[in-house]
This record gives sequence, C-alpha cells and structure tokens, in this order.
Amino acid sequence: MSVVVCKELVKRFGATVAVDHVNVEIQDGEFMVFVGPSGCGKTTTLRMIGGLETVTSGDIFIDGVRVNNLAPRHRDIAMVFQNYALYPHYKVFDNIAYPLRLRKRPKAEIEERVNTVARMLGVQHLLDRWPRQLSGGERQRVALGRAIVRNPKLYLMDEPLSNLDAKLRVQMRREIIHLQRNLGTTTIYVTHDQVEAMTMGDRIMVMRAGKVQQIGAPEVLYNHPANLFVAQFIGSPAMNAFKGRLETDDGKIVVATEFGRFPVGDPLVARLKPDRSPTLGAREVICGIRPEDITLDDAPVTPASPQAQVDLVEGLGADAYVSLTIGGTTLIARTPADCPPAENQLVTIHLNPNKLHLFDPITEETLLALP
Amino acid sequence: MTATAEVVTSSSETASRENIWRSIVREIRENHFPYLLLIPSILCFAALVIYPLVNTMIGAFSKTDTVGRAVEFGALINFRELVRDRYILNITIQTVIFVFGSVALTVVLSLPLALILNQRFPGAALARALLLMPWAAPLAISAMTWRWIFHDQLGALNYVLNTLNITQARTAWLSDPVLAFICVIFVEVWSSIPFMTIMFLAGLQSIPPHIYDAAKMDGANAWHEFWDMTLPQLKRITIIVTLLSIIWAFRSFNVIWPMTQGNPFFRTDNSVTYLYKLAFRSLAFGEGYALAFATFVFLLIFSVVYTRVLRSEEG
Ligand SMILES: Nc1ncnc2c1ncn2[C@@H]1O[C@H](COP(=O)(O)OP(=O)(O)OP(=O)(O)O)[C@@H](O)[C@H]1O
Ligand SMILES: [Mg+2]
Repeated sequence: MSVVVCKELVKRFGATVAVDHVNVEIQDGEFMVFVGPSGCGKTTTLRMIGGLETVTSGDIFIDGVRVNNLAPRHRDIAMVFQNYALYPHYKVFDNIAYPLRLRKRPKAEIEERVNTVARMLGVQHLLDRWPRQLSGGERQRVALGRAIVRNPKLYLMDEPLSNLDAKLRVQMRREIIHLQRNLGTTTIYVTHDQVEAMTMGDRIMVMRAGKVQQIGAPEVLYNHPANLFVAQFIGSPAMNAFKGRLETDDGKIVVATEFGRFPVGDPLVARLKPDRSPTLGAREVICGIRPEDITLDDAPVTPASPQAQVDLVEGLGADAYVSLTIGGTTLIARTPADCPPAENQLVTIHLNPNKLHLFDPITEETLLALP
Repeated sequence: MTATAEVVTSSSETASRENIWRSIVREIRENHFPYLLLIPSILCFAALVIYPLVNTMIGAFSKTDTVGRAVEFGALINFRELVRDRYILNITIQTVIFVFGSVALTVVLSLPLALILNQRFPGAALARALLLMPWAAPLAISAMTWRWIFHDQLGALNYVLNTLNITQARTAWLSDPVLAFICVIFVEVWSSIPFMTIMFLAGLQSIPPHIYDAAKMDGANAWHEFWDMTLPQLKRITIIVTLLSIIWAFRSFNVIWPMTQGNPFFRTDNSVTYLYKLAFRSLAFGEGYALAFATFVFLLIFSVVYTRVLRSEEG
C-alpha cells in the first residue's frame, strides 16, 4: 500500500536520454500501466523506481519518502521481470521462498506461505522442480509467486506476459488483475501492448522517446487522446488521420478535406479550445476518426457525398475491417461482419460528427478540451 | 523355468547387441566420409594414449629388464616391491599434501582474483592480460627461474629480504625439507592460478546478470548476492576445474623436477618424480610401472566418486 511520485525524473545513458522529465503520481492501491513503443524508457523508469538504476536527476518518493539513494532491499518493492529471472540453481520452492529466507522468517511460516501462494497460482505440483523444467507459463507463475509471497508496498511488473502465447496471455492477464484487486497492492505494470494496457490499467501512462504523452484512465485515452501519437497508439486498428481545414458552411463548422466536407458536431465545437477556435476561414488541422466511427453505405450515390473504393475486407468474425481509398487517402473502417461491402465496390462514407478528433498539424496536440 | 528365462534374456541381449553393431555399421556405411576424417585422430589417440597406457599396464604386472621391457608375467611382484619400498609411505603422503594443498590454495587465490577481474575498472583488460604471464614461458623454464630466485647465496628472494632487513640470514629455501616443500607448492600454485582464474572468470561471465537484479529486489545485500547467487552458479565450473587441477597436480613433474629433483632426501618427491627415479635411476622399471598404474587407478576411481558426490543433489 503506497503512493509513488516521480518528479522531473531523468535518466541518461551517455548521450541517450532514456527518461526525459517524467512526472507521475501513482495512487494507493492503483493499477498503473506504463505503455509505449519499444525503447521509450518504460523499463528504465520502472528500474529507477525499483532502485536497480541510478537516477540522473529528479526525485522519486514512495509514501512521501525520497528514495533516490535507497538500496532496493530497503524499498520493500517486489518486481516481476520480463525474462522471469528465476534462480536457476534453486528449485521452485526455494525460488519462491528466497525473499522470506532473506527476511529470516521461521521455517514453518515459510513453508506455509510458499504453499499458500503456490496453491493460489496453481503451481503446487511444481515445487520440487528446477526452473529449467518449467514451461514459459509456469515460470511466469513462479516469478509472480516469488513477488507476492511477501507483502511488499509495491509491485513492479515488466512485460511479464510478453513471452506467453495469446491464449495464456489473456488468462494470465485476468489472473493478475484478480490478484491485484484481492491484494489491493499498488502495482506498476509495463507493457508495449496497448490491448494489455487498456484491459488491465486503472490508469495508463503513455510514453514516447522518454517523454510522457498522456496519463489517464483507459476510456479517457481512447476517447480524448491528448495528441496524435496517443490517438494512434491506443486502439486497434489505429485511428485514421488525414489533413483537413476547419471552415464554415452556412454558419456550421465543417472539416474540409481532399475528399469531401464533413460536419463537426456541436459538442465538439463547444470543446474547441478558445485560443484555437477557428478564426474562421482557414485553420489547418489533422483530423482523426476511429474505424468504428466510419459508416459505409452503398445507397444510391449523390454527387455531393464522398465515395471510396473498397480495397480489402478482413473478416474477424463479429467485425470486419474494410480498407478504403478515397482521393489518395487510405482509411480503415470497422463494420459489422454480416453485410460487408464487396472488394472493389464503391461506397459512400459517413464520419460520425461527434467522434472526430482534431489535432494541431504542427504540434500534433489535440485542439479539443476535455468535456 | 529359470533356464528358459535365462535363455530368453541372453538371446534378447545378443539380439540387441547385434542390433547395436548393425546400426553402427549402417551408420558408418551411410555416413562414411565423416568417419573417414576421424581416422587420423583415432590413430594418433591410439598411438599416444592407448599404447603407453596398455604398455604400462602390462609392465606393472610383469618382470622387467633394465631397459623397461616386460620379460615375463610377474603377477603382483612389482606391487609387493612397491609396498616394501622404504620411501613409498612418505611419497604417498607428500603427493596427497602437494596435490590437495596446491589445488586448495589455487582455488582460494583464484576465486577472489576472478571476482576482481570481473569488475569493470580502468586497466581491467591489461590486468587480465598480465594474468596470463605465467603461461608465457614453458613451465619447466619458469620453475628453473624460481629455483634461482630461491637460491640461498645468489637468489633474488634472499637478496630482497636481506636488503630490506626482514631477515639477516641467507635462508636455505630449497635445502630445508619443510621450506623446500612449501616452495614447490608455492610454484605449483603460481603456475596454476592463470588457468583456474580464467575458468572462474568464464564462469562468472556466464552467470545470467538479471538474477542479481531479482535478488536485489528480493532483499539481498552484496554478501547474499555472492553467497546465494555467485557461489552456487560457479559450482559446476568449480567441480570441473578442481577435478582437472587435481588430476594435473597428481601428474605434476615440471615444477618439482627442475626445482629440487625431489631433494633433500626424497622430501619433495611426489609419485611422478619418484617413479621417474625408480625407473631411470634405480632401473626398477617394474616398480615404476606399478606406481604409475596405481596412480592411474586411484585417479580414475577418485574422478568418478568426486563427480558423483558433488553432483548428486542436482536433478
Ligand atoms: N544500460 C543501458 N545503457 C545504455 N542505454 C540504455 C541502457 N538501458 C536502456 N538504454 C536505452 O534507453 C532507452 C530506453 O530503454 P528501455 O529499456 O527503458 O526501453 P523500454 O521502453 O523498456 O523498451 P522495450 O519495450 O523494448 O522493453 C533505449 O533507447 C535504450 O537503448
Ligand atoms: Mg523494457
């Protein structure tokens, strides 16, 4: 149970800035996910919080105590590593028992707690094996067991599921969430998989090149991305983005694009940041729209409505992803799979006016305030 | 009933043995080229290892002439002579002390050295290169050099000790039985440190680094990391390297012979220098063969037991 605060946290390796002025506050009992593309500094941030990496500048506080110079063993944090880092020379039992042995717990207590944890994770039949005799999923559980056998203040998990197959990953994902809810221990979880981040996190911190892009609940990140990077990183398939210009048609604001003019919903207009609101006539923007917010119909074409050609239809069971080309731009739409358009067919596209995203073309920051 | 059972087992045994032979023959016929390439090495091995070994075995159980040829079957006559030898008990004790003393000291010195060299510090590469220095010259020549260093009148050691006023006397390092024995062990250790240190270094570098991170997070301090991670991880290499060192120390000739030739009064001899004297000074080749054979058998049994015992806990 604890609160973690990073203030202006920086880590440099020689000339590389791995972590660049990160500010984040993790609440007591929260499940916080750090997500971002490979090499963006997630692991480095986590290792600094754990004490495995020195801090170049900035501060880390755990429960109000500055821990920058505290050795890991004094921080009372448990960590699950991406490669499990089981001790090859200890059997499973001793792997899980090691943190307790270091704390000089009585033998009976160690025995009991290891057994409890092993039962909880379904590895009680493996206690007498060597780590090399385990499958990836079993190793994963043992690594988890070693972390939860004691009650640390904080869990750090570095891509613990990345080596598992898709099915096991989904299952372990649920188990970890379940475990964390039961234990109520503050957890920081690193992943580069946005689906994992969305499904697991109470809140998510998106990083890119060492910098924080946005911190927020999954719905906030999905519905109100702070910039184009977050918009396209979160969600699959990625959000469509294309150039446009805010203009007015009969007093209504529209986005004018190469392939048509699309109305902007009133709720969005209301949220346009005041300093950004179009001093009408010409405001260049990058317009974003999620695949599920594009609807297609093959209704009789009126000359006014924008028409796209269907390039490819990928069925996924319930849904289908439809790739479209329209005036040199490629869009992906998501439609119910029961009546997908045929390839090479011409369709009319509608963009949900209330689900558009507008970004500054230079800074790529959002132009919309949070509702 | 029993008879039939026996017949059945033995026939199935011969059948499986035949199968093995047949599969070997088939393997060679199908893949003859690689086996063809092996022939020179097999011949060399036979000539250089098998022949002397067989010869020694035959010699150990034969009466021999003055140039070491086996002339007639002698059963255990050589071994009886060996047991009656007035020096053999001392030689055995000295050999054991020499071997285990030097190997133990080498381990004790090499491990910390390897730990230091495994750290990153300026000049680490140079230090590692310097470590190999004792290997730069043939051991027999270095041992000769050490003999001069230890010389009571002309040696560098006494010169340094006297100049620095640590001792006044000209210590007779190699004439005093105890000091001489310590000196040969010292040089044996000195010559073995590079190999063992490099093996330990290799062992240290093959330890997965992330287990130290895990241990730190689990609450380990530097001492725990060494005791709970490094040492157990070095166990395998330690078993191999100590076994090799023990075997090599048992056969060590190139230190003792150039330094003392076993003097004074056979007090620095080990089994190898002694059997050399038996054979080439006393021309008691049979006894020499017997001693060689006994050492061989002892080492064989020792190796098997040693690896079995030390490895037994691992699954
Ligand atoms: N020990 C190190 N020495 C030098 N550079 C390093 C070191 N560790 C990390 N870096 C660099 O710091 C940056 C961030 O690395 P980090 O491991 O934190 O990325 P990550 O977000 O965890 O990526 P991934 O998803 O691939 O694990 C990378 O550019 C990496 O090359
Ligand atoms: Mg990483």
